[in-house]
Amino acid sequence: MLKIKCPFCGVRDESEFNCGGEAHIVRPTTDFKLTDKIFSEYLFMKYNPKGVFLERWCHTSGCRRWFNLARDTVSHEIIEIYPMGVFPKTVKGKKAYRANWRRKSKSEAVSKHAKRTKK
Amino acid sequence: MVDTISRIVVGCTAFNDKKLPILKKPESLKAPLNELSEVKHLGKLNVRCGKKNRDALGKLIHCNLPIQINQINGKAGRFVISLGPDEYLILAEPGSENQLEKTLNSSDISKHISVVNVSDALCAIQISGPKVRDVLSKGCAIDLHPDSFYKNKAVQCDLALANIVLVCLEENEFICICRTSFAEYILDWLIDASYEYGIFVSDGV
Amino acid sequence: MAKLNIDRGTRAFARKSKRYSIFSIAKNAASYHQKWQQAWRHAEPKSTYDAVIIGGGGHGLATAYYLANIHGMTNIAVIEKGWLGGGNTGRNTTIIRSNYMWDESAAIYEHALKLWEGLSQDLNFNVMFSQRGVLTISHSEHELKGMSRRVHAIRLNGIDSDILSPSEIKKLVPTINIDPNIRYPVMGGFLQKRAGTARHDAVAWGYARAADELGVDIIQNCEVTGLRRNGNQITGIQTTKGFVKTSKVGCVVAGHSSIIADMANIRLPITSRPLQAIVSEPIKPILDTVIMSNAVHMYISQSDKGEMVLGAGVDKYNSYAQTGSWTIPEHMVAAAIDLFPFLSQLRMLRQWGGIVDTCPDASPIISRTDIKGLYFNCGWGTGGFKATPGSGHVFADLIANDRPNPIALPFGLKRFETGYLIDEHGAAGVAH
Repeated sequence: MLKIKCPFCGVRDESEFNCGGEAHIVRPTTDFKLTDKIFSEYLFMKYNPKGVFLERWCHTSGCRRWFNLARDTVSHEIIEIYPMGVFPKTVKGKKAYRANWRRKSKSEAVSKHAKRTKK
Repeated sequence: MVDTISRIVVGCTAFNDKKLPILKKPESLKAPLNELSEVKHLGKLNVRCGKKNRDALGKLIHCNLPIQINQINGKAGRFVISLGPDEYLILAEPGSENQLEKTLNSSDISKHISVVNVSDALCAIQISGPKVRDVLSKGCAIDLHPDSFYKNKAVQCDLALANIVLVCLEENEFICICRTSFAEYILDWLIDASYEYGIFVSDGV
Repeated sequence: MAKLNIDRGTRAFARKSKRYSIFSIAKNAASYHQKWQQAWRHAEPKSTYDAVIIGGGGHGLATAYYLANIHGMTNIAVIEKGWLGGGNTGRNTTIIRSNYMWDESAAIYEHALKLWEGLSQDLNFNVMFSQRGVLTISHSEHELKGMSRRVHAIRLNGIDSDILSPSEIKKLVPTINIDPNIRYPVMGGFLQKRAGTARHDAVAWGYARAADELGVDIIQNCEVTGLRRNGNQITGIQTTKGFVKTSKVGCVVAGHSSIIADMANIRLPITSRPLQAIVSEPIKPILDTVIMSNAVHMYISQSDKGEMVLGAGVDKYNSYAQTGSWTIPEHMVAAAIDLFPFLSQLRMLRQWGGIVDTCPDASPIISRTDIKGLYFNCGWGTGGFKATPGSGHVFADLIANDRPNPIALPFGLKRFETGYLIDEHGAAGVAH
């Protein structure tokens, strides 16, 4: 049972939360550069690491707010909890962000948002 | 009992199908230790309001907003629970919520806040007695020790399988706010969980 | 439904010395059973093979067996990073059925079921396939309607499926609670009589033994660390026991598929989640059917040892830890007790988890990739065990002939670009 520190409610059991999957997925803009392959890469293909993974979580039984969470998928150690719309600050968190194949993917490259906020 | 919320017995409530009062206790107990009743027709408004307009909102409802999340502030029969960084649950005297909603929606900050009247969507259950913390702990994972959960603290959590806002009014007096559709489930659960200490469910005062 | 001219590959065990029979038991009894021939060799990797299967679970070993037996490819190896059958094959709840709704799914699972019905004879190894029936219960008006549609679709594909009323269910399963006043009452159900269970270890050992007999090298404790290619063609695999040259690589590693795929910059749509199982103390035979329930979110059967075997849905977040979180079994057992009150008297003895590769449409991936010679068989999620022989059979065909047969074709990776998904979330019995 993970103990997750909700940024607003404090430490609670994992059963109070809902995991929203991978964080920082950038939606590609729908212009002429977007092919079926690129959109399928965004919509269906997954980053599925055996190691640190950046996820979005929602405190459904509590404040119902979303936040980001860096977690190791083998040890389940929670490395960092940081707000929505922000990037990880720890060394492991940043490494996990950069290691994600999406950072080099076409689906992210065609997004103007990614160009603005790429780290 | 502290001068808190006044109750009026009028019309139908969340426990419509239940035959009140209910008394459940083991034979060995002379009298039930816990008491439960619905706080009928309590006015409830869910307000979304950003940091900028907090003070203005507090002035309009005649009660300062709690600074921290998961806290309750009260003044002269009106209470505000902060549910999130920009979300508040206002508990007002029965019958006053409509006027309060109008006041807020015609105020200077009306374009920057959202007000939803949830008086009937939510149900407030008052439960009091020396063994309330023990009863609630059977289905609530929050630390309910008097040192951690004391007067004016509020928390959003699960009680058994229902989502509630639990408020500590006094050391042995709690208010449990849940969706009206869950009220009977919560009532059944509380009666079941309180059995060993005895419980008296009244029709409200 | 696509039909395949099934070559079951039944040409095993020419050598009498290795054949199991009542005579071999009697003969070996004389020497106190100390002279049984080793079921498979502990091979060391050669420098080159015609094909390499990464993953020594049921699906991988089945693939190797059919490659050797049907397609004549005996200069092949199965490479397993741990011990044979130690992954999901050793951790599942052993349910086998083919009552899926969509034509494409019906084809592959029924293909597997037909292979199960004779597998012990094919492999000369008792896989303990018990066709005790699988009953899926409906708990509401709309579940009954959905069930009706499902049963008709299943029967149109020539697969057996019967609708039962609550009283018929009670006759079949005396210990079930059909009280209409419980939270999720039994309102009906559909039964596949030919479905059932098998011993999960046995199917891995059976395929391993048969494949080894045909010359397949089974290499355990050997982890793949890289995939080497020349341009767009696979040339070999890097392992902890050295480099192995090959032009055909079949990857069958379930929850670790993304790890291998990353080695070749292949993208897969799978997430690895824990799937847990829990067993009770052994008791006398009390349940001789497999019961599944969507609403109650559990499935239950009784093993040959007498243990009640229970399972539920996947945990809510990614994990490679093979444990899972305690909230899942808690919720599952609470719901199961409603349906089977006798469970409340049992002690639960063991709990464990596997790593299931869940797919967005809850259907498997049997596919070529953009790299020539590299093939993936994964995405079976919570329903891989039942497909073991069928999966290996069609995957071997794909690897040998470099083109998918009609059964495997709909499960290619391309469906995620064309949008032709095969949504089997409803048929899976529990949520993915």
